[in-house]
Amino acid sequence: MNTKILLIDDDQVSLLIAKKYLIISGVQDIVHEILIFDDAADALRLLRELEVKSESSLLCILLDINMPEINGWDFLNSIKNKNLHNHVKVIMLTSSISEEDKNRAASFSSVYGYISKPLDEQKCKEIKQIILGSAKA
Amino acid sequence: LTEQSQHSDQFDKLTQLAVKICNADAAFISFFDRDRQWFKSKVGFDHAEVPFSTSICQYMVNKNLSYLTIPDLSLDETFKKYSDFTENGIRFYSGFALTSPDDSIIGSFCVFGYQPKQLDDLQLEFLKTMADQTMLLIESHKLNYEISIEAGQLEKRIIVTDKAATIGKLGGLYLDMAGQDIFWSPSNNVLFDLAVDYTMTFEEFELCNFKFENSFLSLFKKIWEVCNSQNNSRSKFSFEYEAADKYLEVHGELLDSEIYVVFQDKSKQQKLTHDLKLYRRLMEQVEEAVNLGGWSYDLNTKEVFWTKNTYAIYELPVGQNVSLELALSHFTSESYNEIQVDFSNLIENGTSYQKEYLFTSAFGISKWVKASGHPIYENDEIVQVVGSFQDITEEKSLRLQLQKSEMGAIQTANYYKSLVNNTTFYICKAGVDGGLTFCNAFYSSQLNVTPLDINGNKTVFFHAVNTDYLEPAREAFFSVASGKDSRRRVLLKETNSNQVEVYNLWDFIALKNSHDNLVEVLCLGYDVSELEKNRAQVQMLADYTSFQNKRILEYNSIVSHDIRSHVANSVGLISLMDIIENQDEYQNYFRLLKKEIRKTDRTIMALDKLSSVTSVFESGKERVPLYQLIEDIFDTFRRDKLNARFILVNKIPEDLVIFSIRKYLENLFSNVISNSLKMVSPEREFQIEIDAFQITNSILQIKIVDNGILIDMGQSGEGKVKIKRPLEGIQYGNGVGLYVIKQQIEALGGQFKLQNENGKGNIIILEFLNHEY
Repeated sequence: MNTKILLIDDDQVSLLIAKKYLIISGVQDIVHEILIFDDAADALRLLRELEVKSESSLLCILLDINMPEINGWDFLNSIKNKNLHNHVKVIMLTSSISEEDKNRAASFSSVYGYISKPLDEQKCKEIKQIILGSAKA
Repeated sequence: LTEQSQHSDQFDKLTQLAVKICNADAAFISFFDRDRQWFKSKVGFDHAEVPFSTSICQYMVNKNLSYLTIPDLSLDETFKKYSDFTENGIRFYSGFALTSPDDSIIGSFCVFGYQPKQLDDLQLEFLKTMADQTMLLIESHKLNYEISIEAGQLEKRIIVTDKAATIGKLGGLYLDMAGQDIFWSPSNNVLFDLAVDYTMTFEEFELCNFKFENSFLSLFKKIWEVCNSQNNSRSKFSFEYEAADKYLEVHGELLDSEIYVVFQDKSKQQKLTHDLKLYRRLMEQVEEAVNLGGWSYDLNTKEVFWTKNTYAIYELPVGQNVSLELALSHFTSESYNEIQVDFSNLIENGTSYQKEYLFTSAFGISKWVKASGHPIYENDEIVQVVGSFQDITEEKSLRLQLQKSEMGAIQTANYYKSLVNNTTFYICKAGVDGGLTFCNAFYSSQLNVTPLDINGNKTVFFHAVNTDYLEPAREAFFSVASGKDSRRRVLLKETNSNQVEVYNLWDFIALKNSHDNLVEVLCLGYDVSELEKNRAQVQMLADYTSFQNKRILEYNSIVSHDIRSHVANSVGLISLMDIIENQDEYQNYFRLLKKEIRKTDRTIMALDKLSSVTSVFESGKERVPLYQLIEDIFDTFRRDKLNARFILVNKIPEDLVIFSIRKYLENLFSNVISNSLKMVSPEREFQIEIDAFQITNSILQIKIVDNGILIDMGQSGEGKVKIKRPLEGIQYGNGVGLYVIKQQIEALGGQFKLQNENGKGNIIILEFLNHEY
């Protein structure tokens, strides 16, 4: 199956660090491509296009919470309401360490993991396992 | 006929005459038994009897001779051997046989002499006549005897019949229509209330013209008609006749021209039957009305009769045959012996009973029953016993419950009394027009009403209500008084007896009488002035608390999202710088790192500004001497509540200082104390004691102990008296007051605890952060 990683964050530095680690840790090697979005709206647009094309691909989304316009929660609600989560595994990647946010994320069926920033090699192993379907963090 | 039988002098006259006529020495009349000859009458000798076998008469009998005459025994070959000649020296004998109507010889009439003699024809004829006369005499005696026996028996029979007729209340009449004869039983006179010696004549009967005058005349007229109307010569008839309180059964039989009539007085039986029928009907009527069963028992037939309800109580099908044994067997073992004794006393001695017994129905259900039994007499003998039967299980259990609840009721009554006489609530009643009909002492003193005003029905409920509040007061009151609402609550401003304006929270409750008609309105009021005064401050505190909350949330957001994201980026960049070797890349990361640190710094600067805003409240804190504060509050209470009796004890160390806002603390403690004062127990003088301890460097604990009624926080455990129970739905100080206090304490991060001491009172513990910044 075609596997893509969608990296969604408004913070350019955070995106840079995340992408670098996905490459270093070899996560890039097990997927077909890594797509980077600094605006969640663009990512949603892509999801809808894929849905229309009925393209069967696994999408692993690394999602930040605090973003202007559409934040992480809005994004999760959108894919839930529009039923776009069939082949979607969302992993929260956020600077928030609050329990409230963790619990809220866990309440979405599309969320498979919760990782606090910054990303490092150890955390990338978790992402790998989630992509390969062996774990739900 | 015996030797001793009477009238032997008649026989003696015959024998004496025979001796003279025949010129003989002796004469006798004898009779023969099997082996002897005895003399009914004798002249000229002494023997009472002689052996028959050797007598000359025996010869005459054997030869079946009607007479025998021997002129000289010594000359006769046969008789010279007889002992009459050889021993007694008799020479002459002449005798005639006494022959009964059936031709057997039963005796003899004889003469004899000691000299030879020849009787002439006349003498012989005379002797024969004597013998015949003797026989006639004997027959006559025999008949007489038989008649006398018969007559005696007849007399006895008449006596017995008459007695039987009188006792058995029987009468009788025999009519011979042909012979124009009538037989009137003497017992009739008793039966028909007639003179003892009255006897009805055929003439009276035939002409229906009787010599007596009473209500039974029509009976005999009727018998006359019945007899004449019978078509058959042989027939029977029966009818019932009622007159003069008597009930008669008349049975008659017509045999050709003879008529037999028997009267039987059934009055008593009839009355008894009638009474029993009445009694049963009565039992059935009573049964319908009061759920009572009835029973009866016939001592002769051993029959048990039950009414429907008795069957129902036994839980047996109506009409099922029941025996006395079955009836008694349903009583439980202890009651069984009791009912046995009671029932025996009833049927043997006629002792009535009415008692409660334990009983088990056919379905095995235990019941309490009330059973009674009474005797019914006939001729001084108990013939029936009757009684009632009632299931009183419910009544009995109600009675028991009532007894049990009596103590509870007394306690409750005392409790209500103490409530009415409280110094916390206003309790009053008003008619549907608003006129006061009752008020408790507290209302009377606080709102300046005397009992006299109430008796004169002069005061209306609204007398103390301030003008601005009259409209809502009337609206709420009359909506209940008119029956529109069953209950209303309204807050009214009123002027009390000290001319101070107070806020009273009133509940109006409709009071109905037993016919469900609205008669009065119960008014329960509570002074909430302090709460009203505090409301604005409480609102301010609540607003401040929510503002504080918002600040804390913002602070959290800043720390978590702004500072942490920059720090996370910095950490990520530094770790990348550790592992990459490309110099350009390294430089780029370093540049980004500097940027992130600057951003972090800016965020922290912003945070500082935010926190400086929140410290406005903290900066308002001052040094408050707690002892003096409490003293001031106590003084206020002593001044405001002149009529109340209470003791206020301030045990706080005089040098203790609390870092807080004075106004806020005043408010808080006023609330606590006024709330406690609403829980005054009627059993003891009220006392509040306040003490304070610095339990850690930064925490001050203040303890308020009172001896009032237990406060119910809605989660009280067993044994606590819930003051709201008797006045359900109306929550006063216990709810509102404490809620405010709790909010006030918690708004500043303090703690509030409530304990109670087994009915002795309440302990409120307040804990404050108390340190100098």
